[in-house]
Amino acid sequence: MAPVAGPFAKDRFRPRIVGVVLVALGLVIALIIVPAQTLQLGRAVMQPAALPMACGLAMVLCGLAIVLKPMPDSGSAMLVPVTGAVTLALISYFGMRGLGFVIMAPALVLLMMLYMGERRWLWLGVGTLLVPLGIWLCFVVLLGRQLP
Amino acid sequence: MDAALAGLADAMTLGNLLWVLAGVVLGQFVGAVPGLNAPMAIAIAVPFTYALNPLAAIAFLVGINKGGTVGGAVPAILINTPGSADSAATALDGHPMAVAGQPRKALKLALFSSITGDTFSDIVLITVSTSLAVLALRAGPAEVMALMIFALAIIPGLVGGSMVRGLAAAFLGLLLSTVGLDQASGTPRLTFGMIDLYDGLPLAAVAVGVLAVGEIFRQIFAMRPPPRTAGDDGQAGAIASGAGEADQQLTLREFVALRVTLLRGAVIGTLVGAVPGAGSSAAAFLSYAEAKRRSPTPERFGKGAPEGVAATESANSAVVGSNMIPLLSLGIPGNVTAALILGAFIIHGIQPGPLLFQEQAQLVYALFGAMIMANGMNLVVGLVGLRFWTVVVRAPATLIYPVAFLFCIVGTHVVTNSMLGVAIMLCFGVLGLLMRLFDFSVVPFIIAFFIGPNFELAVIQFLVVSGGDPAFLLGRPVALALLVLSVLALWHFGFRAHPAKKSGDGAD
Amino acid sequence: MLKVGYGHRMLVAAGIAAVTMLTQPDAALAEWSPQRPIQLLIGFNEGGGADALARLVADNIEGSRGWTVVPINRGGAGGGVMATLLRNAAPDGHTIGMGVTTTFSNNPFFNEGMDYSPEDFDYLATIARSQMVLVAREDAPFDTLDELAETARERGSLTVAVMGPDMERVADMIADHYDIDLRVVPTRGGAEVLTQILGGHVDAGFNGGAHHQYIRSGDMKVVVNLNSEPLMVTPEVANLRDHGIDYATNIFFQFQAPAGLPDDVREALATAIDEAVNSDGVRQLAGERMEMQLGNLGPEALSAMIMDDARISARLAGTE
Repeated sequence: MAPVAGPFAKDRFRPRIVGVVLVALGLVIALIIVPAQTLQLGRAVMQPAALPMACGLAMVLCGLAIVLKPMPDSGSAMLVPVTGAVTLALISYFGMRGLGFVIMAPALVLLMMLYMGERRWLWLGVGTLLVPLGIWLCFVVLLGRQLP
Repeated sequence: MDAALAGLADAMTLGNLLWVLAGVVLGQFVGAVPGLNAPMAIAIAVPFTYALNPLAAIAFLVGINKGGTVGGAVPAILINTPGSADSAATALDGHPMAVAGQPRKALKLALFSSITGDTFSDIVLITVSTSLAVLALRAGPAEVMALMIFALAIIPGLVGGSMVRGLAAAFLGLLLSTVGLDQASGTPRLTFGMIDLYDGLPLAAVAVGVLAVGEIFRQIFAMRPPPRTAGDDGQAGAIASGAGEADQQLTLREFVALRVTLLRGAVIGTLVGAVPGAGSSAAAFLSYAEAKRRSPTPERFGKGAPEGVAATESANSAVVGSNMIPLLSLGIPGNVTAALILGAFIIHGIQPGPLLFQEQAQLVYALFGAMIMANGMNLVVGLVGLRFWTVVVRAPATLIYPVAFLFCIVGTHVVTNSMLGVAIMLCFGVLGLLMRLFDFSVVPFIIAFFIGPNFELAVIQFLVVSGGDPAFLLGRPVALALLVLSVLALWHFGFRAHPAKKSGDGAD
Repeated sequence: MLKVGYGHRMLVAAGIAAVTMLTQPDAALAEWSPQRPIQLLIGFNEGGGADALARLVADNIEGSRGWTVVPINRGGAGGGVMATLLRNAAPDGHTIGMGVTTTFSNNPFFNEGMDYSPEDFDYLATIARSQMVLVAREDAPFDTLDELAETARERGSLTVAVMGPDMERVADMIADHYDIDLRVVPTRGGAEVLTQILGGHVDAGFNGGAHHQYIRSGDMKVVVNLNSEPLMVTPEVANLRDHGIDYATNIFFQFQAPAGLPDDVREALATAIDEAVNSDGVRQLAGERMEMQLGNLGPEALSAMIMDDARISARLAGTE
């Protein structure tokens, strides 16, 4: 099988890691998390744990299949995107919770635009001032909703 | 007949027309902005309609609902950030079309397909809704369970990439759909003691996170464009701007050539939409699968095949109309949007159900009139809108994605009324990014997540009703056939077609 | 243990309320008024009938009192999310909640992780009662509960669709009483129960209002009344006690506040809500459109009823 796998072991190394992670995740879910987070009922057609546990075990099987027959994947770089995304998520959550929309929304957009390399004042102005103001006017003033 | 004419006359007033127009414009707008969506707009709009007369109120809400499905295709096609599971399938071929330089053509195709599907299901609704509703009632736990198994079996093999990874994604989605109070026993599952999770992970937060924010993260952090030269604006979604005007036209001949695909999509959408609880988000994929299976060139699917867009958009829009079938004739809502509209009906003194056509025939026909108007408006507003959105998307990517991200945060906060919802949305954004980086399709994940609760309940109901006796299935031929097809589909995708498909994929 | 019918209490409470209002028209109004907007936590999501009801009452209070009432939807966990937030709010009259009786009388006993108890709240008013029944398709071979039991014995078992664990316990009581086998089919709610019945997938099912139109259209019949009072639409149908099963459901849409409200605040809030509940708009929506039985029990009768039901729930939960 795996006719397209290249001659280089590197091709298969990453998928194998993915497979191992999937197996580990499935095992943790099926053997630790699900039993701890569901109740055993005296009388039930299907125990509440049945479906989540089956899903965990199925993920183990999928992981095994990937380990055994690794197919090369896109091989995208992951360190920068994942740390970047996690950082952005943390900043937006704690920023919005702590400082509120009015302060955080312009700051957040500015941060992202600068990171992406935008330096033109016009577009920076639109993103950091005009759009948050529009959102605020629409939801808070017009609709009377709460923003963070 | 008098009631029908009187009802239609009631509908055709300038006031109603303006309300429908307002609803359609609003619906298309919220559908097109990543992070906002039509159910959200309807939920917020319902209290504002108390002051209106019933017909204007319903016309407005129906307008939002119909506009939302048309609008939903816009971000899916232009920047690959579908706002809901319904339009996730549209992105599969719509976005590649846009990348290949035909964004406006893809949008037009989506719009016309949408209107076609919607009009078809409205005609079915207006003409045979009562008998179709009675037919749909015969779909019991066995049929619903079998339909969902079928959807889960075909979707991982459908969306390209690795079948095994697609399956793994589907199981993860199914797993996460079990968070919350178990519907059968009412006991908490995987909630880690948080009462806010008792109703499960909020659908909107998960969908926006995985489908939109995951892609936004990827665009910001993984697709960071090289330093630009002065003339390049760095368009969002890597849309090539070189294509000539001729390439952007959708000729009548091209559209008519898609008639079979369109009709099939409309029929699938109408049937699935008419069965309450069958999972309307699966309809688009069933239609897509069928179009791909019947195509002489299935390998083009996922790379910008117009049939792919036509199949999904006609099906997911047909669902919108046919969801009204069980809603009007039985008073049973098929999905979240239908439940919201049912609430609005009751508030405005309309009691959907078996007596509706007898007691309030004139109002029902007025509603049908409003729906027809909404379809017309959808077309007009959509044609203007697609020009508008193709201009908007010409703004630099450095503006589009940050702003889209902000809208996702705001939209989620508005829907869930809490920062916890935003936190969940962001976590699923990171998950969506990881899945994209490691070639796990987000589509099987989100579909499994959406139909998970209904699927589990259908299995339990089936076990109770059948008494655990497999022979029960012999009396349910439709369910049996679907189960057999599921096994065949798994075999087909998983073993037979798999190597061939891989080598095809490897060619890019 | 016998339960007192709440019908009498409701009449008495309504009478007392009417008398109080006649004799001291302005006293209660002048006592207390809020210092800032009142937050109304609605235990339902946006868009439904219950949400509409809560917002309509809020509108009415704003109109009649000049207070500002801000509705906030906090649905989820059968009202549990609303109840948890409400319990943790200050008992100063600026946070009140709208929900359903069983959120307080049942959920804390049967659902794990509900971090509140019925004593954590001051109960203010009810809007209307949702009358629970067991229904079957018109062509079912039984008309009464006794006949249903007989059919179950003949066939070995029957399937019954329930809207949630509460009704599953009622099905168990019926099955125990007659010593029959009732197979419980869980559903997503009342509307789906009706679908399953109409489609012939189950033999009977529980419902609390949406079935009225099917009774009137002749597609369904009521097998037994689960309430202590006669039903509005079909008053002749017997209730569980008539069949020797000592149980009745009490499901009201109601208002409550965190426990420990000062007396003048509770009085002012209860009076304001009572007036709103008796306004034309609310009566029309709850009574005519949602087809519920109208009536405000008043704070005392409502508290007593919830405490009684809570004791029954505690007993049932203990024996399970």
